[in-house]
Amino acid sequence: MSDQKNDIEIIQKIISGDQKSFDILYKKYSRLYFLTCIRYFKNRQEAEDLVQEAFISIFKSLKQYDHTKSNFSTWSNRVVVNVCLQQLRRKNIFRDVDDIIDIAQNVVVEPTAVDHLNLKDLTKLILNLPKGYRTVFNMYVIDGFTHKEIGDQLGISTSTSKTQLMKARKMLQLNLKSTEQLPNGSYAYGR
Amino acid sequence: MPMEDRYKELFNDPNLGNEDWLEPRPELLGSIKAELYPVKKDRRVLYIFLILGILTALFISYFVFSSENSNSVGELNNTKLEETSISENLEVSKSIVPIVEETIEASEINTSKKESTAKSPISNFKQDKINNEITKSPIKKNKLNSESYIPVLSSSKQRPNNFNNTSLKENKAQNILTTEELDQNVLKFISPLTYLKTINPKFLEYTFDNPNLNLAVKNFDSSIKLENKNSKAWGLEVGSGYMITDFILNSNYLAALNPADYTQEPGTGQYVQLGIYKNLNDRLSLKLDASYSRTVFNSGHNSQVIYSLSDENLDQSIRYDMPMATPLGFINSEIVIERASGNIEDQTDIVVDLQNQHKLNMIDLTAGADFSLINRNKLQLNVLSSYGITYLVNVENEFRSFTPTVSGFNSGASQITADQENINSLLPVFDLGVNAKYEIREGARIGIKYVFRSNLNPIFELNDFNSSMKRNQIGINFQLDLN
Repeated sequence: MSDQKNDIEIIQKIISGDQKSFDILYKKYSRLYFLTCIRYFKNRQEAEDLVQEAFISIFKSLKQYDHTKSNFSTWSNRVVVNVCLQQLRRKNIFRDVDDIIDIAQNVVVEPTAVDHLNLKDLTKLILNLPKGYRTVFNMYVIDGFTHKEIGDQLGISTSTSKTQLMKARKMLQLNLKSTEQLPNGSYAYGR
Repeated sequence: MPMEDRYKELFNDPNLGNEDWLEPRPELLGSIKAELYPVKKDRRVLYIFLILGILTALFISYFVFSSENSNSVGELNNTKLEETSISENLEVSKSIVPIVEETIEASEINTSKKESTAKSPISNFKQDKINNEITKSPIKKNKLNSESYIPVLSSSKQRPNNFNNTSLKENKAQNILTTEELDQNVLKFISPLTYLKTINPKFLEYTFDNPNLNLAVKNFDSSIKLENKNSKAWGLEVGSGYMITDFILNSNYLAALNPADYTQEPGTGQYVQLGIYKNLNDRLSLKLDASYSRTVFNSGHNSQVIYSLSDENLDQSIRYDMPMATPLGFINSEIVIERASGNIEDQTDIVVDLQNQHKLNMIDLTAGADFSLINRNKLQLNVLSSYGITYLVNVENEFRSFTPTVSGFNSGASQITADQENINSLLPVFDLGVNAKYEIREGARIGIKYVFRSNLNPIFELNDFNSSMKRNQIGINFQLDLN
């Protein structure tokens, strides 16, 4: 049985009140949702709180999920991102999107450099970005928002979004370059 | 693979089985499930509470009605049954005929036996007269009546004996005719007695069942002293008044809002109330109340925005999405900050003072008891307690003002784009209060009532944030006994 078919079956059972199916769904997706929340918030505790809020949101919206339009993992992860953005709005973090950081120009990084890094290292690289850069990078590169959508969500202009993304990329390349220069080339992100 | 594609692929892959560092703490699943599946448990408690309440109400009602029925409706039905069975039951007819005839003698003590028996027994019956006398001065007159009846009853004991002198068949034939007449007359006879029944239902019972009227009169007499006409009355209560509502934020919510100089005012408003009550006795009554209330309050806090020239519109303004906190949760709004002066830096931090007004419309349904502590002359002091539900009909939010605290910037347009989402619109509620009442006429009272009303669940709940609502109501009320 494919993942999507399996997901639909689980969802139907959850809707009909089966708590064990919810446990299965949680085990399957909690890491992905946690990873998503971690990308937006460095604080592990805060990320866990958001995972909780996200699961509640997903649970309440399960009846609205249309499996013909998108995979459950894509749909549900978008719910998680929206929960993160809602939290950012609550904390009025968007005022920091214009963090000014001197970024060295003309950084050259091998395109395949990221292939050598594992998920943990890449997460660490993203988390090292300032909040504004990180938010725009996450939304555009990983979560697939357009610049217009980012502008609408964050209350910034499209051009600001583009600028932020450009700066984020440069900073990420710079960090990636310095990672390559490390003896073991590894970051640590633990509990 | 390009760097960004690698990111996208890696971070959207649900298969993260080996990434143990991404495992949330084990308790998280438990706390999520506690959020998602507590409803049944909570409702179970609520249902138990409601069922217990209903059972208690039914239990009390059963006793109230059964005692009433046994004294009134049920008694009347029994009497009618006896009436219909008169023609079949010789013994019963015997017991009726002497009583009626004896009563004739009692009321017309100077009338000859021939005259009285020649007339219809009921037409000669002067019970109305007696009733009127009893009504005017029940205790005194009854005493007199009972005294005057005693010798009559004693002397009239001959009548049944005379009656019994006829043969059984004759008796039966005679009695059938007599009771047929009586059936008609007894129905007429019931009507005036119905009044007596309302004062003391046992009067009928004794009248029909016991040839010794003296007992009935004695019983009537003593019970009149105990009965209070309004002690078991149903009644209506209407009221209206002023209320102050406090919203109490929990420590997490308050701690999160304090850095933004969060302020809120107690809500003020009015309520109207309509209720019915049932007096169980002179002191205790049960009541059901419905009330509608409207309360208004303000809240506000600061928020910081960055005015960046690069984001500025052609009309020298910037539109911001502005999430705002209220005692009932978060609302979203849009504000426009206009730049008045010409020369500013590329980016300016602006603190904005945000003020909102909220209006709550609520309906409360409560059931409870009212106990009279003091009952002297026409004054009563009652304590009351009740449980029920509050239904939050709606919340109206209004953006009152926002003020940039940096010179050179003005507030432009503003609007609320999204209302609170995490409001519990149905809440259990508990009341405690006092009601000082003054009897303006028999069965009608006016009072001043204070009620402390506390909702037992938070009205707003989101993760670690919640707020609850407590109300203080003071108003006047008018009570009218219906029977």
